[in-house]
Amino acid sequence: MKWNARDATVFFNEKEYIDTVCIPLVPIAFEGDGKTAANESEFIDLVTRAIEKQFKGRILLLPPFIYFRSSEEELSRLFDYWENYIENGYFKHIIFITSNPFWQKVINGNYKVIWLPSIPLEHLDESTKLRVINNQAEQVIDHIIHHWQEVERRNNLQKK
Amino acid sequence: MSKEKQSGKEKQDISRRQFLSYSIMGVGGFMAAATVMPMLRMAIDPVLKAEASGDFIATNVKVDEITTEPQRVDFNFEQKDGWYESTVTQTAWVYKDENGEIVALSPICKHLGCTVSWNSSDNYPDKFYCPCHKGVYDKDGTNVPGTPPRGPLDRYQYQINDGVLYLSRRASEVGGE
Repeated sequence: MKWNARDATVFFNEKEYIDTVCIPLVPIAFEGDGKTAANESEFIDLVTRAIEKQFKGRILLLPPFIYFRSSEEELSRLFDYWENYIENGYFKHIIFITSNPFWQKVINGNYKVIWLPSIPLEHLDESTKLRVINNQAEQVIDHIIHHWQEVERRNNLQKK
Repeated sequence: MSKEKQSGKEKQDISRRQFLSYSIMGVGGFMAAATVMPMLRMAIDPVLKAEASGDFIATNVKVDEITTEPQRVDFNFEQKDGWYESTVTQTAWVYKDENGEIVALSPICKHLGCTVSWNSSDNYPDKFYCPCHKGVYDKDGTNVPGTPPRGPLDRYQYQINDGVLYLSRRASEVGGE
């Protein structure tokens, strides 16, 4: 599901099935490595769309969370919000998708951070781009399925 | 318009002022039409185009390559939404049934719209399996009772031209099977 008017109707009706929220982390920079940041944004945007297509009925894909590279340290606050949502049982799984290895260090707790090194897209033609993105997305898809199974297994063990 | 001017001179019943205001109105009218017409066209356009949407799209699959084992077929077409042009990629699971009829199933799970795939789970061999909520479908797309899906998988219509498989842009529901 996407965070838009049409999907929101389904989301609120079928809430018990949509237990995973996916947040793309997208960098903005207007000096220095701005071009890299723009490429990362496009890359993450395309990969998360492909993932949403695969898992439409279980994942809610939120609009990307935009951060300035210069203020990464302040962003730990973001996670406090999400911590609440997990503790309240609103979502079972929270997945951040990023091209920046920094996030893996920051996030620890009930989150899943999927880090994907971004691929330069500037000179790729459309069909190559589509293939590259689908390949990347497939890896993430396997990752997510594995994560779901892992958490389910852990919960079953706890119940016993 | 120069004719008008001449006739105005002869009869003296149209003043210079009137002539100018008429010609401004005339030119203004053309200008207004020039801006309004494309807008009208844009508004009516989707209605006029609706008929063409039933077209069949060529896939890269030859009919003799299709076996009884479902294979994944991706096909693309351009779609225009107002100003936004996009390439739509559709996926179908294509195989020949026991009568040699081609079946092209949509991979969209009838539960909440995840993408199902053939033979992807060890627990459900030779079934379509949805990894989101463990929906299971038989090879012909029938949903297995007791799993979340609420109906059988949609089917694409197909055509064969020069031995190549063509599929409809959208899959349609299988009624009451």
